[in-house]
Amino acid sequence: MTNDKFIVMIVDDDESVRRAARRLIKSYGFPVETFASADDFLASGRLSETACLVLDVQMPGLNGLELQSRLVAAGGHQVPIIFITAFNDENARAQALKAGALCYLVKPFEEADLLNSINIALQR
Amino acid sequence: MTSLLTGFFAQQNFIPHGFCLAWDPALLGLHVISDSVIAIAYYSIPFALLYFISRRRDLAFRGIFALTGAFILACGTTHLMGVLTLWYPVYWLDGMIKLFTALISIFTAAAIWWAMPKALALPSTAQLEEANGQLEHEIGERERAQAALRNANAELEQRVAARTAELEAEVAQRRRTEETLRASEQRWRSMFEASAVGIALTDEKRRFVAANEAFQKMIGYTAEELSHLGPVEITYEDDREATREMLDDMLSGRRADYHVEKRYRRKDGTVIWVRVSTARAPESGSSLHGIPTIIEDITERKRAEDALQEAHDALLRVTRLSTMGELSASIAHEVNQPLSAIVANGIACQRLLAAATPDLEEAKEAVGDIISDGRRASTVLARIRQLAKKSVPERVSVDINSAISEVLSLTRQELQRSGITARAELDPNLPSVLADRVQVQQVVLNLVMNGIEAMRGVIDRSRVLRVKSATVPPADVAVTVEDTGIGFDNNGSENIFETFFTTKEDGIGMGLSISRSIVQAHGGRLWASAGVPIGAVFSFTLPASAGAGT
Repeated sequence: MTNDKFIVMIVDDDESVRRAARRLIKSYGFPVETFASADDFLASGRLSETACLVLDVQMPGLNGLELQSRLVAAGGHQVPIIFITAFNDENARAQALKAGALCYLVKPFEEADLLNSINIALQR
Repeated sequence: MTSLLTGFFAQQNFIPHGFCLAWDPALLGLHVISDSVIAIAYYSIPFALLYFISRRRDLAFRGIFALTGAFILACGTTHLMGVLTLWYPVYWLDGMIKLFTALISIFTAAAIWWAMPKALALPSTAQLEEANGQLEHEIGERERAQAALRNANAELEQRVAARTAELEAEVAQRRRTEETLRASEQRWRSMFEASAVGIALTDEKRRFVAANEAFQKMIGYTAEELSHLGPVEITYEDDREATREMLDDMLSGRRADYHVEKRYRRKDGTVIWVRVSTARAPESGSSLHGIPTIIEDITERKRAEDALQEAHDALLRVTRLSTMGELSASIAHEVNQPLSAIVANGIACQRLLAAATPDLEEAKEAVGDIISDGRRASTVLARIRQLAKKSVPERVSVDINSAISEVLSLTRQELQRSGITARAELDPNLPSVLADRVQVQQVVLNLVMNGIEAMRGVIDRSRVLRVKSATVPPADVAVTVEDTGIGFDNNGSENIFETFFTTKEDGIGMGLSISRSIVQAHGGRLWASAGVPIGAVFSFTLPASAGAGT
């Protein structure tokens, strides 16, 4: 099944985290793009190319959960979302999963979990 | 002789004088009457004169008066003889009487002429009256003069009496004053001796000339030993130079008094803290000469102050730690971010190097990122340690902007998690301040945490925390933390600085009171005001380094 949605989009306000995540995912052979904020991502118009969204929860401006709500509200095909956060906040996790997130990973996480999640996302 | 006498009274040979008159009875009568009257008159005159002389004892020329009396008496007799010879011719007798009369007359006349100049020289009645008048006038003058003299005398006496009374009063007053002084002196002396605080007198040679018992006890030297010592000698070594300078200033008159807290070294070598108050006394004539100094032993107070300071520092640390405890999730995030990046980069690096054609360039970049993330993590940990460590307060040059930035980075996740947009508006030309960096950060941290707390319940507007720094002329640095939270009513704007005042359910109400104590200890101010249009504004100022001096 060919799919033009093949890029893993990373949205994180922390530059070093962004760079590291991009490098790691890229090392597994996935195409990767990074954005410093949810607003940047929305403004880029790259949603249609997005195979999977790796999203930080806490960010200035629109946070991860709010971006998820926007996308859900917009309807249509739902992009699989993988949340990565430093906060092990049960409420946030519950909200994310309820809204259809693929997974909610708490830093520091096992890279295998991330890869599995990406693979699952790409196979959808 | 008998014949002579007989001859005198012999009448027979001569004719009576009446015969010559022819016995004419008329003529005889005329002669007899005239001569008789003359004789009576002449006889009466000497008696008058005699009477006069006898009554006027002061009469001049009494002799002449007597002679004149005798002369007139003789004259009278001659006239009597004139009558006798009319009938009896006793002319010898008559002639002898006339001779006697002639002699006495001539003698009297001579005496009168002789006395004439003297008689003329006698003052007349008018002259006497005039002289008398003049005399009376003079007497009057003299009496007036005497009266004036008497008055003057009386006045003088009065004055002498008044002055004497005044002098007596003065003497009495002086005696009273002396007694008062003596009593005062005694009072002071007993105060000096019984005083619970030390009192000492220092002379120009910088030696103690007097020291009360309290001072002797305090310093451990006897009065005798102290008389060979001065304020400098008993002062703790580090404080001696300052003491010497102050003593110089006092003795030279550059300073009239001074009050300092300093240390003494007791005779037994122990160091005590004292408060020394001294003032140059005006010369009082008191037996206590020298510069008086009052010395209080404040060692206990100093100990208590030190203990209080330590307790305060400990409290600062504890509240700081408690705030950091609230921030633990945020702090963990700050450390976790670089750590997770390091792990991700490490795995990526492994994979890049293990590939059939290793991407060395990318691996090198990954290692570079690992290094900088490691540094970042260690910086975060260093800051946390700095905030958490127990340190003595210090004064160093602090860049307020970087201190604020560090606090904002520590709280970044907390702010984000609370949905708060943090805005830092920092003045790039801010001068540095002389401060304890950790304590300043604690204040900023408290204010930021308060802001976060205040905006927790806000759902109908954006949550914005604005942290600004600015230069306040002439020499202050101001930091302002504004929130769009629930704010406070203006009545409460001072209450919030009170210890244990809190609006938070889980707060203990120490943050603001501690923050204010920190700012005040730095010579600055911390205050709150209502935000416009909403929220609260907390501001504090700190003196810039140049103003604070070093």
